[in-house]
Amino acid sequence: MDQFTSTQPIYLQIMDLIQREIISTRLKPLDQLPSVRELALRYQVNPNTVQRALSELERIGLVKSDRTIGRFVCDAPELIKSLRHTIVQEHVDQLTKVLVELEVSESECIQAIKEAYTERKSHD
Amino acid sequence: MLIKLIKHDLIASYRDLLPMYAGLILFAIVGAISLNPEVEWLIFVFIVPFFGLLIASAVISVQTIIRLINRLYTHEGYLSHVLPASDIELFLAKIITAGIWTTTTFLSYVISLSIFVGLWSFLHQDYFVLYQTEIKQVLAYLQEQNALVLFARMVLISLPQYLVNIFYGMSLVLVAFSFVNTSYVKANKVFIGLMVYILINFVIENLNSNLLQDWFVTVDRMQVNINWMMYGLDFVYYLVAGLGLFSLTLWLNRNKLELN
Amino acid sequence: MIEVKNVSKRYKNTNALDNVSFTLHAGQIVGLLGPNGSGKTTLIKILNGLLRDFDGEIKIDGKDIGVETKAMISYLPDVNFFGEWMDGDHARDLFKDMYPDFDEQRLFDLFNKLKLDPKQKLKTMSKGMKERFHLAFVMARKAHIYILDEPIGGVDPAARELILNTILDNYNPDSLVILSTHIISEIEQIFDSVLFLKEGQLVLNDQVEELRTKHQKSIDELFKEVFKC
Repeated sequence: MDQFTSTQPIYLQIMDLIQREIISTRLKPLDQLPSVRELALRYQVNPNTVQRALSELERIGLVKSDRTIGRFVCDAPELIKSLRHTIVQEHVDQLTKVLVELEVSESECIQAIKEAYTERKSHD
Repeated sequence: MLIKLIKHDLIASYRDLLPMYAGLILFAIVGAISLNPEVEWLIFVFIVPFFGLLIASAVISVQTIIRLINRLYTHEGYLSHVLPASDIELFLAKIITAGIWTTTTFLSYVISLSIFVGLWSFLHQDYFVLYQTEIKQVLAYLQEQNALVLFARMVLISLPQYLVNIFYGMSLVLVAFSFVNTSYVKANKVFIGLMVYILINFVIENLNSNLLQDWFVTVDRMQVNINWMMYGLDFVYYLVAGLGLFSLTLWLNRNKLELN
Repeated sequence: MIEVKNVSKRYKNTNALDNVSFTLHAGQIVGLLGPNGSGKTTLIKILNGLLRDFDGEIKIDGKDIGVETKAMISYLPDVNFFGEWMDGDHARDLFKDMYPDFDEQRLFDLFNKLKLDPKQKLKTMSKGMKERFHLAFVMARKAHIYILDEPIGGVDPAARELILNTILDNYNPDSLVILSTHIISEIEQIFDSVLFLKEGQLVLNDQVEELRTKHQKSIDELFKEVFKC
């Protein structure tokens, strides 16, 4: 169970991983997803778990399945944008909550973020 | 499935037997070369190899059979008992394989003995020159009495007997092995197995000699007389004993435990 | 596919299995979990027809345990079942003859993936190689049911990953895989559901994801909790 936490169902964690691939545009709209088997092998999990994650993604409209060929990322820019926004918001909320509690000012916070970005990019 | 089981049993065991048969023939050749009639009694020349080879053949037979059956109860048993074959097929295959190897071992015995006698005679032709007249007399007598045909008839007649005895003997071995591998027996398996074999054999043989008191074959000079009724009864006796023991084997295997 | 109803195996002093009941369906990978002596091996032997004397009823695809059910099951015991004199070619001939569902091409692929030489005799192989050899043959059959008894016990992480990949790669929705183990942490994510056996009794039978949500723990942690003395 190296990459998965024990307390949350694995299918949710896999959903999350795939969503991140989509949000980051590593998986673009109309791209084909790897097969259930490939994903099961990649994450070393039960194929049914992968199936469930993909079905859930289908249900929310992020992924669609073409019976004969496989699953594809939906051409749903609005949905992707809103998901992206939600996840960014979640992380930003958490960050601001901590910094506000520490009485860090908005400009200090933005400066810190700029520096962090620069640091990260130089690593790539 | 039965044929396949026999085939694979044969494949599994033949590589152990070939060197032993080679050894038997080597023993015969070495014996023929080294036995010196001037030093030993002439009789030794024939008794020693006869029994020596016979004992060697018996040991080969017994060892082959034990290894064959043991494969049902060692780690290889995890394969044998999980194959899609019924118990009857599984055990019958062992009996038939054992029968085949017993026969080939017996034939190698005959061949080795013939090699021994032939080689020895070839190396010591002077002996035959010495006893020429006597040998010629014996040969003439045998020819007159159609000895070869008689011999062939004897072989054919004893064939059913031979087969039923293999069936009986092997079923008894299976009972011993099966019993020793049930939950009834926890230690001293070899000893108990041997005791079971000896005990049951003793009882059955004794019963036989009490029930069927006459010999069914008598030989008077070169005349062979067969009491067909006794022959038939004896055959049926061992057949029934064999079937009983085979059924007992099947029953015991329902109660068995695997060992590691 | 497998129906076990009120199965018990009693000995004089103990019960190896005590009134165990469960049903398993195709398309699942099921974990049979429990410490040594909990009855896992007894249950597996009964399913395979190695232990015939038991109380209760078992039906596999509606049939009693016998020749037909043996043909449906591909079993990997925790001992080596091939003779030491055998090599890949001989073992292949044997399996080809005995099992109609044996797939020679799959064996060939597995031998390559597991780095095995079909001409090498078992007696010259290391312990790990022998285990991979047996795994290859068991997985090379297109069986309805695979029963693997401790396939990853005492095996290094690289080999373990190889074995799990083989199992996952072989997965198909018409087959049932039963995997018995006492090492849970490394493989719990491949199970659909788990059966916990404690002293012969079935104490838990549930879907894995439900258990994780309900108890907020991994199966390994849950297991340790259930089995602490």
